[in-house]
Amino acid sequence: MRKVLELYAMYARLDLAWFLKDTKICLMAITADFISNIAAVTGIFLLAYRFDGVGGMDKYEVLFMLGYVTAITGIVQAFFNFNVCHISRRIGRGQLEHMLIQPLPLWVQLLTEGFIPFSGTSNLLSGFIVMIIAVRSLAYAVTPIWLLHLALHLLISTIIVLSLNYLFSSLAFYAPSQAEEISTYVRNSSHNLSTYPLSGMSLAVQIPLLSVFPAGLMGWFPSLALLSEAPLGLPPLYPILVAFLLVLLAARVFSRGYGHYLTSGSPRYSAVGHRR
Amino acid sequence: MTENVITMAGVTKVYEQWQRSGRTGDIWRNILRPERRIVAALDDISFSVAKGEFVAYAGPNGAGKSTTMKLLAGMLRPNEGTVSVLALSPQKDRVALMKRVGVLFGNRSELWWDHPIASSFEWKRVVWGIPQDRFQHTRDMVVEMLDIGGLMKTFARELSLGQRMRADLALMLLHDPEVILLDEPTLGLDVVAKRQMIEFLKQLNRRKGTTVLVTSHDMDDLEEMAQRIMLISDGKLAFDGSFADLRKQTGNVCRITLTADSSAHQSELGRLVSSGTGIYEYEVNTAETSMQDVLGKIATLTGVTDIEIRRAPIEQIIAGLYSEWRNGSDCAK
Amino acid sequence: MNKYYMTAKMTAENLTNGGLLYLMPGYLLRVVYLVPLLLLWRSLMAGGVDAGMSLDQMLTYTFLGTLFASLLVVQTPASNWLYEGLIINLYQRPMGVLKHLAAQTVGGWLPDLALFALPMLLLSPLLGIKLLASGMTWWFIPSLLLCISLGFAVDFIFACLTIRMKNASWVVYSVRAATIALLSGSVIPFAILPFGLGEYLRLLPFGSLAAAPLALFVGLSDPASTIMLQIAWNLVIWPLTLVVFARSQEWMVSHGG
Repeated sequence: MRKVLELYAMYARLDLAWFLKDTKICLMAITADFISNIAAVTGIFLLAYRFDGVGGMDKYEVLFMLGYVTAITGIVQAFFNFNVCHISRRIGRGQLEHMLIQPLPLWVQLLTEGFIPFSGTSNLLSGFIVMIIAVRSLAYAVTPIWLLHLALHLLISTIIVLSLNYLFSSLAFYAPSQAEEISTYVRNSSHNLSTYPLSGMSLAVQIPLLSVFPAGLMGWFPSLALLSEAPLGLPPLYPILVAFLLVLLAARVFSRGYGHYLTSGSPRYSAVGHRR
Repeated sequence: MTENVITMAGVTKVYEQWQRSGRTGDIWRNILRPERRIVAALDDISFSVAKGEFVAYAGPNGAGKSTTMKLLAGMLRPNEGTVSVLALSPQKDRVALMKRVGVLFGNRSELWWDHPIASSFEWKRVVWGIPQDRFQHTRDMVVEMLDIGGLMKTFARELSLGQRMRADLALMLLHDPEVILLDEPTLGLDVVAKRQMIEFLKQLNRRKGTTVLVTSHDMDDLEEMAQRIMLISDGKLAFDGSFADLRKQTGNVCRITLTADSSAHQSELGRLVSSGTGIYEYEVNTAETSMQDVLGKIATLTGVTDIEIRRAPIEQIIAGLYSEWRNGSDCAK
Repeated sequence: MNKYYMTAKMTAENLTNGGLLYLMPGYLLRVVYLVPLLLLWRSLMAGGVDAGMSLDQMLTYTFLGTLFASLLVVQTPASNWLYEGLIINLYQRPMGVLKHLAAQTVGGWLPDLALFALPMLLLSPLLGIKLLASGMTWWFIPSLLLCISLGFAVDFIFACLTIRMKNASWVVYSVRAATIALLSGSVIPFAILPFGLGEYLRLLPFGSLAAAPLALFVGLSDPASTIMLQIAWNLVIWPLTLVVFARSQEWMVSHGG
């Protein structure tokens, strides 16, 4: 644990150094990210505004959900950058070998290498701002316990996002060229789906999106669990169960893929995006 | 008894390659019954390297050099056989091994692209858990030896290839590895950068007793650096010994250049390689004709104004071997 | 022309050479994205509210927008290649750089169109999509061509911006993502936006991208004004693109070298 914290501190220093060296560019990037994220969720909010809510969800509940989704993107961006989240790129480009020559277990490297707390927090901030606006508009009474619940839900949603990405990214062990960008597709699909208020949709959509492809647990379910009550009569902490199963599955599939990689080697190498 | 730090015993490594005709018409065949080819990158390879040895590992393209390096670095698993480095299994004890081994691939960089070199060094200190005092000592030493003091504040992306390679080498050495695995470290370097790299590696091996296993296509470089050479061909170890033994095995060819009048041209010294404006170059196999006989023949010649005797370039000897192997394998097919 | 065909073919095969099986998860993900989106519209419009368009029009718009996303908002490899310093390779080939990029882009579309869009079109009745019953006008074809042409021009401008931003090129990526998400109408039809926003957005150059042919296909806009607007933006943006590209060439080559 001490090593992990030491690595976090070191990566934070590296990020700060980058930020201070290219402050102008860095601020531009953060601003652009901010605008991009607001724009990404504006469409759905405009719809909610136009229809005065969606499927029984108040328009400000929808707004909270969009803020939550943005915050999740922010956590992934700030903690799992440098293609740690998009691991299929590292695998597909043969860059995992750079990790294998470090005297650290892979999981420690993956947990710490993508930490960019200074240049990568725009989404997190914009997500929190949107959530605050929504909570104020709903006149919701925020308590410390509620904030703890929020933190727990954010953590679980992040685990689900990463597990899903790692699960699909394992394909890159077998087909590095074709699956190099699969993580991007998974993330884009899960992100886009997580911005949909699933209230009012049929069970045939809700159930798969809460289980097989749990994009509903990246925004809709936790938002309702935090603001009113968890959908479909499920317990509010149901996402923990899914996260647990998904982590197990992803770990199993990933380690099998990794075994294949060690046996077959990487037929390609590209330095693109490595430690930029 | 000398301690072995690298051992490969009966190692076989097989790859599966997908074959494609490139014809659009074959698209369905490619989907339904893709053609695959099994390639043995290493075929029952066994060798060991003793502590403090500087070993060259050479072979034609696709012979299995990088595969060997990756097996030793724990990046690949052998299909058969065992691999051991510093009495550890690279596959099972990767983390422990990497604290004691340095790995550098010439076409890859471990430096942080958008940071100065000094930041990459600091990164290495934390990740490898190098004690501060030891880190400072090693850093000062490699910075001086590799002459990169003036580059420490420069971003990696702004370095020339030679500078980048030196910085990468310095980064690799910061944890004071006992064994160094170098895959094509002189790739693309100019003459000056190459000389610096070679001198540094020789010093490191001599002064600190660091074991080095290096691959390169530049045989002259390898001969200058290493005491021993292993040649692989088609995944098999074709030669393992000193450069002198290699020369003997291939006939100990030397080159004799005579500056003389036209009578020299008539001589039967050996195979005439080139001639022009009174300069004649012969290739002589001293295993077949002793040097004494050769000198005797030259003494009978008139009009000789200068004699130069050189060993044949190792490049030429090895090129001959590669070509022999290739023809042999073609015949076998 | 043969060289561009060959380039496109090689790009297409680049994706399929490793076996089509590995492409399927990507397509599956797009289906997983599309189906809930269609159901979202059904859910939103279930109460018979006035959305400025019918449910059938909405579903067709979304369906085609997803199937032909890569054509409706063109993205060439230019931005990535510039970022990766690979664009310099294109200068070593006896082909126009822009044409080469276009050929590769089209080549990249082919597997998508054959393996995803076409099968999905055939399956559209199963998803409740009535493609031809939504007031379709054939003017969508020239509109689509103008949209693709404009898409290339816009993409090349973004690529030039990318090279000028050097190591912060992902700023351009972010701005571009925002543009596509909101201003191109590729996901949410302009007609459904509140405050009459759609009327303004369709006048912008990005409004001549996805929104134009899709709106024509579902009969939501007037062909004459839509196509005239697209022609006008093509006439404005293309010369601008060529100038910006010419002025950025030195940056590209020096970055690539």
